[in-house]
Amino acid sequence: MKIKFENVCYSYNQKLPPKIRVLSNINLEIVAGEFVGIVGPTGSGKTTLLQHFTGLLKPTSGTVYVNDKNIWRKDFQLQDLRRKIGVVFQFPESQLFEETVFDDVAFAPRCQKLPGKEINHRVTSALRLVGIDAEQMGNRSPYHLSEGEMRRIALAGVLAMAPEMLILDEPTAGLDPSGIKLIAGILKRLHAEGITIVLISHNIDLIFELTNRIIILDEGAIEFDGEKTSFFHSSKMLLKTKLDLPRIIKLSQFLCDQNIIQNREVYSKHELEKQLKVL
Amino acid sequence: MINISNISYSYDTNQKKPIKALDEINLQFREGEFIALMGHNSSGKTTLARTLNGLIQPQSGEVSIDELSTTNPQDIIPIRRKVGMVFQNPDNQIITTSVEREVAFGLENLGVKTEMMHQVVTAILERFNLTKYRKHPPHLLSGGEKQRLALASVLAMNPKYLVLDEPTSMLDPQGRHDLLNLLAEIKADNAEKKTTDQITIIFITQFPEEALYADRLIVMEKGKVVFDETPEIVFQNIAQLKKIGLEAPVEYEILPLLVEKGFGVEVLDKFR
Repeated sequence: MKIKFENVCYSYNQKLPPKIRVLSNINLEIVAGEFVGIVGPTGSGKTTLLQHFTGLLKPTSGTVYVNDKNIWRKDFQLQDLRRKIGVVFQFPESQLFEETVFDDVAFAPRCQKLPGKEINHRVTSALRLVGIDAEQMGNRSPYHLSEGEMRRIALAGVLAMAPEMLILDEPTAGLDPSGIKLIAGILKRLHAEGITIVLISHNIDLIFELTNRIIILDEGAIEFDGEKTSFFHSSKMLLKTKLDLPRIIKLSQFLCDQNIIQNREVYSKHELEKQLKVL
Repeated sequence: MINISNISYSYDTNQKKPIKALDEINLQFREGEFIALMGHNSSGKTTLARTLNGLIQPQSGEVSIDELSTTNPQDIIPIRRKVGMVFQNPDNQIITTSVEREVAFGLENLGVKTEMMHQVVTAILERFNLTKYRKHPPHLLSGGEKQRLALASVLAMNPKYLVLDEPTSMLDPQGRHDLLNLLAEIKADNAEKKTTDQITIIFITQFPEEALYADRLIVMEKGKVVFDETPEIVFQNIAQLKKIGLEAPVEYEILPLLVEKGFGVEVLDKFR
């Protein structure tokens, strides 16, 4: 699947004041198999951008193409698109509603009127992907689980639609370090299985660890779109867009300024430890 | 002072295996303290925070706020005036149709005179950098702006105790800095106030580097307090923290290596 944004602009409150312009002239293309990170300060338009991927919002001007088809043409089936692109919104656990974990994950496949066998298969494999045993947990109420588990079940609910592309909005917000690690592991696995992933997050360390390509949004415009290596070389850019450097990079630069280590270019704890050991 | 004496609380008490969220907790929060509270998900942090203004009643033990007790029904309203809460998701606490009304809402309920209210609202909006959104409906603000608004609305009521439950988890780095700086400002203002007027901050966070802003760090695990020390001391217990699913800021993880090479702990003092 290929998604292309062409000159997409979007304003809230188009007819009434105050008109608020959120996206201006967004041009971008995401192809199958990519793992893209989107970062940017709050209010920069990340979530609004996300809502354009599946036609939840209609651009004020410009348009979105999926596989070279304009999704805003009358004959385009948005319904199909929404099955192919799974969206995991912020705090997805608030969308859980069924009595059991199994039923919740089965909701979308049931709506698609899939045969019972297929539904079973979809649910168990989606739960397996997020590290939850369907046998053990399937009959429990989703409300009596921990926040991390609830979030993974909500994610399984999206995966049960067998999407080709997955868009996640702050999937690790509010999770503890072990919960974040679990989610990171799941995303790596999904990407390895061929799912295209777009990850929106403030957790710059997570983005750095997982994605190949990074897009920085600032005030509704794309400030940067490229490989992560070139992204971190331009720390000026990070300052400009009010993003933070990963703490490990800040620490290495500090230790370098203190003449404790010599090499400024340290990108992981492991590398820093290696440098310290040879002191 | 908030005095938590021997409180316990379990969820699912009618089930075979109740989940103990708080297990005989004893703590004291003094005037003007800046306390960080950490622990992995479901370690009891939020439950503890909710006992502080009577949102949750402990099944045994008592929470007293100054001369008031959360076990006395008639004390609950004055306690909620004293203990302001900011939650993780600002959408859960924003209720009005415009930014200025949101800030005024609490004041209206306290019966503040209109003129005074205008002054307070203007000053608070200015301080929180929200003046330009004064007439905007809150749902059109971004997550970080909404969280600033939630904090502004709580502080407008001039609480003595401020409880924040992971207020930065939805914010971008700039939003986090802003919020932490606001907390640091409150702490600095405290130094110039009489003890009885100082604001106590109880700050729940998942980010170890944010806990470094506090004077005191309490770590919870399975409903018990496992650490209650300055953050600098707590974070040197890397192995124990890992065991309970927590991490120290990365500089503390490499500290043993630095010490091995002959540097003292104070080498990190300048790193924030």
